[in-house]
Amino acid sequence: MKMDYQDLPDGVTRITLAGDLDARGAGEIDLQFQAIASSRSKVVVDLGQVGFLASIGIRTLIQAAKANAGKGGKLVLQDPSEAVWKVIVTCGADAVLPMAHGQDAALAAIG
Amino acid sequence: MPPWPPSAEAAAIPDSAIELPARLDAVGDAGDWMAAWLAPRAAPAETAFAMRLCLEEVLANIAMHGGSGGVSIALAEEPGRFILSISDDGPAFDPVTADLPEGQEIGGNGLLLLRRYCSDLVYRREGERNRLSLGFSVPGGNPAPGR
Repeated sequence: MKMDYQDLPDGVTRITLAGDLDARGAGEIDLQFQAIASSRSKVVVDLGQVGFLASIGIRTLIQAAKANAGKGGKLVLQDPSEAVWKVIVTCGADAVLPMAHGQDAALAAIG
Repeated sequence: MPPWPPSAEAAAIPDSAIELPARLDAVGDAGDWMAAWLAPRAAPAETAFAMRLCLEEVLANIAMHGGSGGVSIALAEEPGRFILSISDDGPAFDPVTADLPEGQEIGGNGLLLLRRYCSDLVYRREGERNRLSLGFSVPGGNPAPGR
């Protein structure tokens, strides 16, 4: 699994994940992902290139979202595939992981 | 590169059963093996996704709560469905009747996904082993049943 990040204007950080967010993928990025996500307050996670998501990956995302919320910030998932969206909704994790389609909608959801 | 001339024997056809250690770092290998097994069977993407998700959730749970021995995994196909069988020597755990933990616990999400993404789920405790059988219906039937 690959991970890149970019600090955007207005204090928003965009993290792009590519690959499968399964036990292997989550293990590969978890440390760096938490370090970056938890040191920022407004985070957009681009899931457009993530083809698979399991509960271990949801835990990674929720952990970061909680760290952001603790600082008065927010984490928004951008462009999940329908299959990935369905996994998140099935778990009820959409209550803590807001999702948006397109960068403009993601930035609007961050506020 | 395989030897010349090409032969059916030389083609890498994955076995229908494997043994893996009950560790989180082996879960990815199991997913790769399942993908290779499913590839020639032309499983619909939705079915392959559901099977991989359930395999992942069961193996992650075994890696965290299971025993010290190996995990046995087998795949089979019947007309209109695929069957995934997983057995391990961990403490007795029945995912069919287990209570879902409160909140966003990893175990709770995994259990919920497992129940929602397979068509049927059967648990048996045999001797010192947990035996789980997961069925996945293929919409419209699998293309080459009874292979």
